[in-house]
Amino acid sequence: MINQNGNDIGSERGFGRDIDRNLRQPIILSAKNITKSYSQGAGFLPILKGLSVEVTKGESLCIVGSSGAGKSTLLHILGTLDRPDSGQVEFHGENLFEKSEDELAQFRNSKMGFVFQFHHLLAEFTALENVMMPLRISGMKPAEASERAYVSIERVGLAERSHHFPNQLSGGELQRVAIARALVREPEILFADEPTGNLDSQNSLIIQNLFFQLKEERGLTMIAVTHDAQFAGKFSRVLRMTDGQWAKTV
Amino acid sequence: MIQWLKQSTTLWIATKMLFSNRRKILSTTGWISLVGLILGVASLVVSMAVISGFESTLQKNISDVSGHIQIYKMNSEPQSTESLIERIKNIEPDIENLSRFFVTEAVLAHKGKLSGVFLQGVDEEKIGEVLNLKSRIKAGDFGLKTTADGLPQILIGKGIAKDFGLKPGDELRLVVPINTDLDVSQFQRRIGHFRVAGVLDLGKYDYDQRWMFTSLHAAQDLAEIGSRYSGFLLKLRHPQSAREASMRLSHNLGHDFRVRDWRDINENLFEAVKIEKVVIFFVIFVIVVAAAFNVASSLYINVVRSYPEIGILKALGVSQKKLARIFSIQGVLLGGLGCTLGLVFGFILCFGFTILENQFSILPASVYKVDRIEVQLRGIDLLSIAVATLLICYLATWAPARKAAQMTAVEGLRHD
Repeated sequence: MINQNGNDIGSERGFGRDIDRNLRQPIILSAKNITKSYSQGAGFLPILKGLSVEVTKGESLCIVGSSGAGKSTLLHILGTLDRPDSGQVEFHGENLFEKSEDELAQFRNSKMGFVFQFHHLLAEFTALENVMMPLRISGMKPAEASERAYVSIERVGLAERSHHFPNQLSGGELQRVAIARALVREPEILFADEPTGNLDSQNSLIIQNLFFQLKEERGLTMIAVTHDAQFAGKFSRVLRMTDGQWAKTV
Repeated sequence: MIQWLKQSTTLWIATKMLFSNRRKILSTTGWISLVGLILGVASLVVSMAVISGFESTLQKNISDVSGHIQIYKMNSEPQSTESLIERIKNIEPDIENLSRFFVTEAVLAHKGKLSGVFLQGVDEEKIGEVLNLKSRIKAGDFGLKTTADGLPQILIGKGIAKDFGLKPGDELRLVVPINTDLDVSQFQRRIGHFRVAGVLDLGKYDYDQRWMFTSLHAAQDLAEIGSRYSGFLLKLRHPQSAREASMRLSHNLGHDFRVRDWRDINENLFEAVKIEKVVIFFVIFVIVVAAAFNVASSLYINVVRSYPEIGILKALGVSQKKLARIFSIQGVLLGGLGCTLGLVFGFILCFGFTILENQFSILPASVYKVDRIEVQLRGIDLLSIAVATLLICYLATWAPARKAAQMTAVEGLRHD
């Protein structure tokens, strides 16, 4: 499927439903001709082969595909956690990879939130301190950061567990803390890399619902990678990747 | 500053990651390298304390026995003592007190033994305000009077007392050469009898072996020099400014006087001690440098173990500069911990050294000039050790800090 810029954006489920949104909402994030390869022995292994995608404000986009298709690599590049070999990623029309590493770090802190498969909480910090982390990094004073972090952790239903360390929390609780941390700075885009991949079905459902409740509350743009068909089914748009490219059909 | 410490995000992250008991960053190798640093710093503390103590003990011993400055009259100009004192005091206002003295070489003859000695005659009324001999009495009393049997009292160094078997109350004979009025190349011997009043611990081997003190009057009588004297012993309010004061006095008094400060008396020794101190500092500092690099290698391992955390912090927006600072702070904190414990251990060793010294004679005075050192922990030495250690720890952590900073977020996240 070809988008209005002439780029192959793959087949999309629910595309018709998104047409209206796309027309109403501005493009918040766009990736153009992204390539990425990793060195393997003497040569290079191509992971992304000239991918393009546009995401409108408030959209929920899910990227699915088999393992090794390059989903996480794309998500990392869209989230500026990694740089592409070629191509560009624009946020509100601004080419992000023209920024220095430190500028990108500041940008991530203020505009993006991340939730990973393995929660990636810092073991030495309590749940509350983990949620405070993005605020402290932004320069907020400890007392104010603590107050705001508490509100965020309360929103995910873990107020009473706020002073527990990660090793004292269950898998579902860890992921809820990770969501609270991702959203505490009120980012414009939330990236989720297989957020339910490590959870049992009950906890997975709790997390899925939480994601969409928060998305609706805050009008977030959400981009996620998942293998979970049930989770993918809740997104407004689903793109499938195969071998570093968009698949022709879902 | 305290506000900054409380609010600093980098310090918060660095300390939590370093000292959290949920994470054993200070692994066994980390602790071993820290012990190395502690030992290195403690060695520096002890060596600096001993050398500083040696220097100040030597200085105290010299100034106790010779005053801070000695002024020798080089000719017998007929200037009155009062006007001369007035002149000296006008030149150097830092003088607290001064006393006339006369020194001559003599031969001690006792129980068939002979030895060359220095006999110093001191003004018995003033001497207590210029020299510190009273506190150095080891046996007998501090007395420079004439006894009932008409013999002048004399104080002798403990080395002389030991070699000649002299004790307070004993009589001794001193022989001095007197040149004749007719021919200065001819000498007559003159024998003086003295009563030992006390034995002095002069704190310096050659002093103990050769120095004796009597009243100025008795010494003048023995040498038959009438009311003439060698010069003045000066005590300053600020002994450390003795060098400047002696230069001022020398410049203003002119060639008729020779001025020496306490440092001149053993200039070579003091210079040697000064150089030795610097050399020892750097030699032992090599241990600290090696230990600091051991700490840095532990930190390097820590950086490798912290890849996931580095990835998370980068994903959350920590800049390269701040990340490097986090690991540098950890290096400095480890260095600070090693340095603090090293200083404490050094204090304990110094204390132990003092106890050992009090219990046993561990310093042969004939080799080291002094038989006892009061170990001295100087603020400037401790500050130098602390600053140098922290600086080297900071520099040693540069490589691990840089490695952490240059890693991409994805590298760290994939590492988990």
